[in-house]
Amino acid sequence: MTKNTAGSQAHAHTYTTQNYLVGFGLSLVTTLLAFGVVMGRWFTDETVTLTVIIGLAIVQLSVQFVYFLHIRGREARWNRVALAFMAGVVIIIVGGSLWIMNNLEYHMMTPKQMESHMLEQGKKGF
Amino acid sequence: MSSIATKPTASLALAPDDKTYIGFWIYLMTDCLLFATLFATYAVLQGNTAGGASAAELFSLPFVLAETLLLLASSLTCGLAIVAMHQGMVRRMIIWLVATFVLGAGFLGMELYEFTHLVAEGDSWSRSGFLSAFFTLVGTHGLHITVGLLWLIVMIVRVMQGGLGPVNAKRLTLFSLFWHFLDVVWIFIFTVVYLMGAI
Repeated sequence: MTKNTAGSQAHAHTYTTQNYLVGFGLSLVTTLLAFGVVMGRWFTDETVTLTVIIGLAIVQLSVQFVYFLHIRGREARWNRVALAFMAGVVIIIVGGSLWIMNNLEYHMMTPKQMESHMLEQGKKGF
Repeated sequence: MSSIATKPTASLALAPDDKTYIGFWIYLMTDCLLFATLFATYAVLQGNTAGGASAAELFSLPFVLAETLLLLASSLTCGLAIVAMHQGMVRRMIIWLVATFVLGAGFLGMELYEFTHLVAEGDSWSRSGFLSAFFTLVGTHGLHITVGLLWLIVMIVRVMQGGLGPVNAKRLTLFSLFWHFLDVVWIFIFTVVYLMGAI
């Protein structure tokens, strides 16, 4: 019972106006920064731009999970476990798909290559 | 349970280790997997424009930024409604919920405007692999938003008719999770589809 009351107090602590405003403020800053990076062409190197906006998206993801979806604290332990498992599956699905499909594309011939290949085969005779 | 019964605000709180909360959370995680597959599809197909327009040519970033800010603001008002709920201020909670609805409907309206505009220009889902993946990914998110708005109307009406009991408080807590989760998914649509498309 004592554990329960302590839990509810900690739990009520996360549902404050201040908490939501901090989450909103940080999300707003990361959104506007990402927008500025792309619109203002702050970096000449595209790879840098790409890395920065993906980084900002991950920062905002973390901010919203902490301030809006309340994944901190003892009570949310199993929610964090489910979240971690989901993250693992997402990395496998998205990373794996991109890996396989890019590899496939790498091994594919362009239509031009295919044409010359077919001509060559035709010269050899079937 | 006596300590909970004596504190009315505590009885309204659905703790993250509550079975219903965890069940709903697991649903959200599986929904995340659904979006992950759609993101993977989009990432693979985004270059396959079949001679049609690419992401850089089709999308207007300031328009999408406005959309993003509407959804983010609705996430905030939804959170403030939950704060009011925990404080037992039902009237204030309803005002924040109505604000959430208006902002969410604004977001959905802008998205539908974008979709009809694209289709009218001949850039519908049947134009290219890229556009099929785009409409599936963004449309699935829009469908979730539509369902969320319907859920929100039902909850506002229920609270106005029957007051804020433990059952409604529980459902509103789950609704807030759903709504915040949709904003999290949108961060990635904004980044992967719109920002990366414009680079």
